[in-house]
Amino acid sequence: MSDSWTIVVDILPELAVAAGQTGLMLAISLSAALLFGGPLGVLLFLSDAGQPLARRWLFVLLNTVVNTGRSFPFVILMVALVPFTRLVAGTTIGPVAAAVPLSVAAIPYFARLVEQSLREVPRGVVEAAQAMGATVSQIVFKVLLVEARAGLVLGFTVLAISLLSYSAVAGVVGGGGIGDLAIRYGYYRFQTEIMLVTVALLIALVQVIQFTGNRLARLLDHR
Amino acid sequence: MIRLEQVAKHYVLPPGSAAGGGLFHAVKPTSLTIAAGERFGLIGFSGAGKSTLLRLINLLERPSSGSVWLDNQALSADDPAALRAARRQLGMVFQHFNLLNNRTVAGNVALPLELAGVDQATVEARVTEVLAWVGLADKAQQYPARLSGGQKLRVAIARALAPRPKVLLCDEPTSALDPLTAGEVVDVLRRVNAELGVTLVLVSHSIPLVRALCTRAAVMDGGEVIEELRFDAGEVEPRTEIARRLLAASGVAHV
Repeated sequence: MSDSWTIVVDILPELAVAAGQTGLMLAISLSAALLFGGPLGVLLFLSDAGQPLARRWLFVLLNTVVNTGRSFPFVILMVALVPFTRLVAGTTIGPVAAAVPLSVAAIPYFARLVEQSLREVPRGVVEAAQAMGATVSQIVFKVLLVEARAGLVLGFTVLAISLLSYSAVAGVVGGGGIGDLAIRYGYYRFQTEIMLVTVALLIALVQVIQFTGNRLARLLDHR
Repeated sequence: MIRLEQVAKHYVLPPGSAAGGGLFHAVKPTSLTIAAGERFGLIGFSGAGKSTLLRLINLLERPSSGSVWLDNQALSADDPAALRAARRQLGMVFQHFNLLNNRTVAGNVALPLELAGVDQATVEARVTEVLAWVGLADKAQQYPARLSGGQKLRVAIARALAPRPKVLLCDEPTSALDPLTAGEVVDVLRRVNAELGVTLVLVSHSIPLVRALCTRAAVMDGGEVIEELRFDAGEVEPRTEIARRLLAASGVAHV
């Protein structure tokens, strides 16, 4: 018991560093998702049949890009992207490098979630805006994003939790983070205590992320 | 004011559909003129094409053929800026109101003004004015989910009136309301016409509503206008079977 306690206490500084690395990976990839995946999802929605920018070729193109991006198992995507990662981050080791494949995975994922949320907005509301003489960008910013915001927040929450899980995989190939710590100590060195602590930390993180997402969504939703 | 010239709308049915492909004629070539300040009704049974015809007026439905004129200007989807400007003259009230749930009552009424680029101070003044006019001044900061059906409809009317349109297009505005509330709405719509001089175009299958509000109505069946009724010249004498049945269905065939 006291041995276990010592092991856990000794690992705490390293755990703090690992948590910081995980945080960095999430911050970078979630930002990329918002910056690129958000607009991609909006465009995907707008280009579908019956929507304000309906263009079959554009929808087919974007839909294929999103599906292809989401087809790769994350481990494969990470390995396949090594040359690209080296080009962008200058290295393939560390949390910043790991954030590159994480971002590539996050962008089409979030695009799909955004598209789905926008589909939940009643058609009639968009028509009402069109009848008022709204431009397409006004429909997006003043109607669609406003009416879909609770769903968008919940989608972003789902994405954050998925990326937390992906980031553990990224850790295995030199990304660092909580998952990396669990593998190195808990698995390779048979230190079950450390495995338990890291899993407990991940469980707590998921709870906090989901709770925050739910609360925010409820605050924003007036339906 | 509004002139429809041989306006038609058809949909291409997919070859695999129940009808086996071909065209579905929602509205057959129809010509109509509605004068400024008039209260005009479009009546008919479900599926007669009256809502589609109404939506052709502000080009929410693109005409398959024919043209729509507003004040001697042809509306065309090929000129988006001109169409947006024309639509600001054509307020619309929808059957299910189509309010934004995440905007307050005031926010909903402000929306068309914001879209038109009106400055904030003017928007606020106009929103206050128009909400008071429909009797909802005290609801400005509420969200639509907390309102009754009649209140939602009045918000929808206020929103449509905010940019001072010349025409109000109403698509089955009272079909989701109880008769008492519908009666109140009739009063509001009558004031829209009488006090503000706004031309009313009303789609409804409710003859009492159309009689109470309109001076003239087109009876539609199978995508065509089959008869025109006048409600301001004594007894209504329907010529067609459909019109007789419509009047009978609302229990006023012999009024």
